[in-house]
Amino acid sequence: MLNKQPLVLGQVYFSQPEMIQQSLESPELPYVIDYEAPKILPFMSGWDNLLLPQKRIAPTLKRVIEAHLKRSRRLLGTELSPVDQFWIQLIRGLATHQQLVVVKQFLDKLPPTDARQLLNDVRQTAAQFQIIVIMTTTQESVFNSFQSQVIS
Amino acid sequence: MFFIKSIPANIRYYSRQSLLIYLADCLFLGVMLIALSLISLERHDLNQLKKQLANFNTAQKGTNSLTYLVQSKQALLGRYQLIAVVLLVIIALVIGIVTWQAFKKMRQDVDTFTSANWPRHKIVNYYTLTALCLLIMASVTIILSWVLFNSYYWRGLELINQQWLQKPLRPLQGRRAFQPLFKNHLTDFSSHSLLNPVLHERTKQNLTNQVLAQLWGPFISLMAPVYLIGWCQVIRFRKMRKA
Repeated sequence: MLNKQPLVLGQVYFSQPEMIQQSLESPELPYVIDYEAPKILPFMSGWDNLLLPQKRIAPTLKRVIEAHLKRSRRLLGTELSPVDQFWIQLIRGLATHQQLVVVKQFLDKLPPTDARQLLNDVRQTAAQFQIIVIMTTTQESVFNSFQSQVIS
Repeated sequence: MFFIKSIPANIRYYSRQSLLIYLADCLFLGVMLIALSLISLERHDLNQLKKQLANFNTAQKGTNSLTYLVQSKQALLGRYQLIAVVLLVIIALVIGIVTWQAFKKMRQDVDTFTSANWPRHKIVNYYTLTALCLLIMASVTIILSWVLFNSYYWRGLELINQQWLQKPLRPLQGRRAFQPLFKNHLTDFSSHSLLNPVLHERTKQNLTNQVLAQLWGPFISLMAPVYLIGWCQVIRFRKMRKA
């Protein structure tokens, strides 16, 4: 279900996990955010988990951090909610100028309201930073409904 | 700043594993301390013996029992040194294996650092510093308790050295073995103290300093494997990620 060609910067796309390997032809390796193996240090607070040097944080990125990680700043890595973990990883990707982000089976794990909110936020962020985000889900109905709500 | 905050957090999160490594460090340091002390003690005894033998003329020195005594002492010193080297190698091997396993367990953490674009040397330094912190804690514990019970420690070691480890010398220690030597000879030591020299407080202090100065050996054998295996594992994980 991945759009045929070409992917446009600043857009969010949906795909089934197995389709990614088959149909994604990109010169650069995608930055993968895997919910099954989140790259979060369990012993750090949410803020420290960004692992970014202060100088590298641009003002635009600072705004995203403020908006999405304000609450999780003082939490330990083990206490972070899945959405916070997602934002930490996405912000790390943005800081290292990744253009193609693949989010693996994340929507299936979230309650629908959270997922909808997240999709709206991700769409805005993708447009702001001119990145391509591909979200994978195993449930066709889920991404069909989200696609109609969010993308159209 | 990040390291200062995060290393204690890391140790606290993996507290059980850290405690095990701390105890292993304590054990290895303690064993090496005993081995190094035995070497220093035996070397001191040998020097003392040679000094005392200088009191006798060459004809008397030639006696079988004396030659045997010096040879046995030298052999014992050699054995202690061999044991110390073997121990160092064993420690380095064990620490290497433990580090390999620990990095396997912390694969996800290493991947996290990698995904945040940390250079490899920073990741290795981070874990080496964590291990160094644990080692410093262990050495403070061991050295403090060692200094606290220093007097008892040396007395105990002396007893062990004389009673148990010098077993092959025992037949020599009969009162009569060296009596011909002392006949018509005025010395400031007896046949008993020739075999079992008394450790004075100052000597203990000197030996303690000697052993402390040699502690870098065990330190290196405890730290070097962590650094080397750390590099191997971080490079391996990065290759596996790319594959």
